[in-house]
Amino acid sequence: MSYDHTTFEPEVAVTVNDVWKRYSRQKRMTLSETITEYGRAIGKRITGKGRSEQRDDGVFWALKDVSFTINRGEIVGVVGNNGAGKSTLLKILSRITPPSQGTVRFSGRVGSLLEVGAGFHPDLSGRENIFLNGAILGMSKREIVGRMDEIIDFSGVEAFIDMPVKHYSSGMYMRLAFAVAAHLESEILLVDEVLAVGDANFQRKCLDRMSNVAKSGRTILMVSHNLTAVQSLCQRTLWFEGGQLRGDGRTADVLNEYLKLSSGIDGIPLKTWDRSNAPGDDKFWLERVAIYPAGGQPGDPLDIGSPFQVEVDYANEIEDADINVTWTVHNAEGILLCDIGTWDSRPTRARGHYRETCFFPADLLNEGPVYFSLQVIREHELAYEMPRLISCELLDSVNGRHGWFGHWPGVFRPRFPWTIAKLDKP
Amino acid sequence: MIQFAQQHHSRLNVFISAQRKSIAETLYEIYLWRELVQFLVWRDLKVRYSQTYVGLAWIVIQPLVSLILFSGIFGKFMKIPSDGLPYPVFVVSGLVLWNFFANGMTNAASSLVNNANLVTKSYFARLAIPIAAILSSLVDFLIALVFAVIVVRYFQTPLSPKMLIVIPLVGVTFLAACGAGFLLAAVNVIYRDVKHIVPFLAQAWFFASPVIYSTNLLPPGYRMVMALNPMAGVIEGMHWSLGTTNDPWPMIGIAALVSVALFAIGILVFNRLEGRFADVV
Repeated sequence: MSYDHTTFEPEVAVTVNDVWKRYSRQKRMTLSETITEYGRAIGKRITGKGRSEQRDDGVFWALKDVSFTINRGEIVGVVGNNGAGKSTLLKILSRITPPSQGTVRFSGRVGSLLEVGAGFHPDLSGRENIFLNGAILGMSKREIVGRMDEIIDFSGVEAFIDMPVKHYSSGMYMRLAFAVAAHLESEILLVDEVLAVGDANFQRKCLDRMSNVAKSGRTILMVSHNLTAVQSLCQRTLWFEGGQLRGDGRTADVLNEYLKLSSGIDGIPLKTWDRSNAPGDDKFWLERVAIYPAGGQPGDPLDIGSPFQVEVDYANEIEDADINVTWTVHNAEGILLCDIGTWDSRPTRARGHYRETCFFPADLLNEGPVYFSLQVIREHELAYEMPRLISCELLDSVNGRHGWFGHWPGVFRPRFPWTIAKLDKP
Repeated sequence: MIQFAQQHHSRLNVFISAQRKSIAETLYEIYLWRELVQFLVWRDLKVRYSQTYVGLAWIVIQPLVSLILFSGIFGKFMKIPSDGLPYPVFVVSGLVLWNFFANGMTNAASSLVNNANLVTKSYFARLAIPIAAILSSLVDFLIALVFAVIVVRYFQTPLSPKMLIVIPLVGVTFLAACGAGFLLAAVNVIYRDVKHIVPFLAQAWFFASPVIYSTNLLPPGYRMVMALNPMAGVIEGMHWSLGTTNDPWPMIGIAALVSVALFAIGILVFNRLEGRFADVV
């Protein structure tokens, strides 16, 4: 690491060039193991034996050949599953851990926020902690003094500012910690999912501040699991998978690709059977069940703002059978959301293959996993019950959030007609 | 030759690579983060003394108790010769500097592990943490030095301009404490065995330093061997400033060279292991 004063292309803020990061998966060696290991290595060198033996068994690459550039003023989201390399990337960019190979170049002042309140000490007063935390974030004493009033004001804890922070409530503590972070002035800001803490009000305040920072033309790189926040704050998104940059482009496009793959992991959108292993009996058996967004196919991401359909294909061998297939729909907490079958006066079925499709409208259920269980009622008797046959993850949508990303409560999230009228009253 | 950025801020136009820093770059970086060092020193002191009953008095009580014990056991009871000085004066002059060294080294050794949350969650010149630990011991030393002067006057040993030698001796001690402290702090992150080794190391080092005995007790040839311990030369210099007759300069010269070497080794080891801190701490 060094400090560089070469001139850059004026519009490029961050250049990440061929970055690799290697971790050893082996358990940490104790001092004695290390000494024996060194001893063995020296022995080998002396005897000239086993020099080609490379111990690379426990090695894995957290980042592989990652390169990208970020232009000044861009707000870039970083998404990916756990272990995809997002946090490693952020740690390298923040200089917390060095890359094993490759380089990173910043043009402008860099600030990183991996945690709010780093270095807060319980025995120090609020004011003293502002100094300490500010210094750790890289602010100069003059900057901190200059912004002290602003920071205290933003935190809303001025009445307790000279009291040791160990007497603060956790809410006060977080507000003060974020207040310092929010006043970190840097042209390039690296942010981890610090937004996921605190109550809804606090989250809103943090995100408002983020949007303001974004609007002021600074460059932001933001690692987040909160796809809704990424969707609304970032124009561009980087998608990591297995330590590699899998996607890089407009947020909407990248997230769509990402969700297509990751939603398949979270739910079972499709099941098909052949005659030999199908649930049922020789008179009735299932052939296929599927769930997919309107106009899409099983495995495509589903969000709460779009309609989707649930299908069941079956074969019937009884002439004029009285068959009633019903879906019961549960959420992750096991709450029965609805029990739904055909509304028609039930027609009897001739022998043959059938497909029954249930159309769910947009804006009905809230986000989260949804499990579909199937009941088959024949001749007024429950013939089969297949719990949690298929499932999906309904993703959140930015619609109607107006810049707030906290958890929206309720099992339903409908958009009923709503009017606002000004009444002519004195 | 290394060229540094014109801007006086470490967060400006940063370049990151797998290369390790040189000693010069490390020192320049510490200079950039000097305000953080100040805040960390102030935090260490404040936290250490704010909730104690007698507060800063602990800085004096520690050497006072040691002094009484040493003077009683080694001075009065065992009658260890002290080169013509009153035994308490002889001991206290070495003891305050020794305590600075030992406390600085010990505090530095555990400093990175104690500040693990900072190391894993934010970037700053990592060396700021052990340096702050040593500098806070330096503040303690300055108060203890006042105590030592009082003891010297109490036993009616005359003050002399020679005593200004304490200033360069503190510098040598600081470098030695940094060298040992950086090294131990860095290794401690990776092998916690260090935590258990440090008390023994400090104790052995204490007996290898002429705090409670005079170097004149050694066979003549051994003095220069002993001088390889930088604290030996430093303490010899303190005794000389009070009026002993040995010529301390050869030992002080060796002490200065060894301290500089130790300081450089400490930084090199620290830089070598630094990349692993955040991953293993």
